[in-house]
Amino acid sequence: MPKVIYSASKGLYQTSGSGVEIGDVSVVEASEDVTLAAHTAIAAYGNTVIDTTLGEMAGLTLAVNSNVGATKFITMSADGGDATVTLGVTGVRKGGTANLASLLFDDAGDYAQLISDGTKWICISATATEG
Amino acid sequence: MPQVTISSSKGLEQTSGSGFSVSDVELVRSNESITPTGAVYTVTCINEDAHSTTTLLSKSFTIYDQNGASYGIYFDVGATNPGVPGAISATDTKIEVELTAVMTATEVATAIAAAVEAASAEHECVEVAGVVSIYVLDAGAMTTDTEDAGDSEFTVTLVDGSAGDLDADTEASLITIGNDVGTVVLQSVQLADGSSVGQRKNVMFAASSTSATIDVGGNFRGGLLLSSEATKPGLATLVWDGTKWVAQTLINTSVA
Repeated sequence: MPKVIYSASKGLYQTSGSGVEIGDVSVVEASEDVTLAAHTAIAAYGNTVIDTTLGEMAGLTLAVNSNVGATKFITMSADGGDATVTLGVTGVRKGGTANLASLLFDDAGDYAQLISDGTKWICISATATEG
Repeated sequence: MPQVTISSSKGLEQTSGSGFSVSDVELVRSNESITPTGAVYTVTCINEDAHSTTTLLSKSFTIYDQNGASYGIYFDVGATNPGVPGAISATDTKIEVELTAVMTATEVATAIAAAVEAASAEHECVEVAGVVSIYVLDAGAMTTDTEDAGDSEFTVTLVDGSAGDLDADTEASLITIGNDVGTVVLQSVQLADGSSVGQRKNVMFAASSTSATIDVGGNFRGGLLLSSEATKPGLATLVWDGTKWVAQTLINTSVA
């Protein structure tokens, strides 16, 4: 079986074994910047950085990710107004109750970290307000 | 130094610099969904009539746990105390069922269910209309899948369980409880040790209507079992520290 390795010295190469190994560097996932007040759907994977300098964003939505174990990180970088992310499917709060409908970001630095079980998001950690 | 970038427009490309980045596409991690089930014996009982040939006095049948240990179930009628019948192996866990001289199949089944539950931590019983469902609480295929009605004249059938181990090298596992009986209280699956320090493992438990507990056995900091209530969605995010799994986040789950 092949094993894929990345190292800063050799780049990406394949050897015997199994798995994917990233050495020397961190894996940077896809990241999007949301800056327009009219923005709606945010990506259902990777990172989303919300900047509400141009005004509040009340209509942001987050769809379900059908991949079990998919993660999502959302953070507010600048606070010019509140940002609300509404989940497409009711998720699970970090306290364990299955009634997470939305996340409210109202301070720069607010964040939420989520993981998908394939049918809904589970909030692992957040300073954003769960609604 | 080479830098690797994956994008939707160019796919995988290597340029100068350093780093490994994925832009505008999703990095899909390895995942699995499992529905571990324990085996189920269905024992269809008969009436007890001490005055006829259908008496169960000194008769027996045998069941097993998931690891292959055998349990010989035998009958005493009217406190006759005949002792353990010869059909039961010396290595069996011996379970005596006390009956009275005349009992319906339903009453016999109720007595069997009570006796097995009192004597075995590996089984859970549900009795309905003279039929006892004996649930093997450890998930996975039976080591011994023999259907052994002995001389009881009962009908004993077995539906085998399905695989119950988590793949330690798969980053995310979703567990859904496989038995739909409300009284089942334990389902045990196993998580092997990690292979690399920093290796991550996310274990998720789907909520069900069954009031059961799902246990994941393994080497965890703080205990050997990761437990989740089946009626609530559960999550454990784990990191391998070289010796044990460290729980970073526990939602509706616990380590003990």
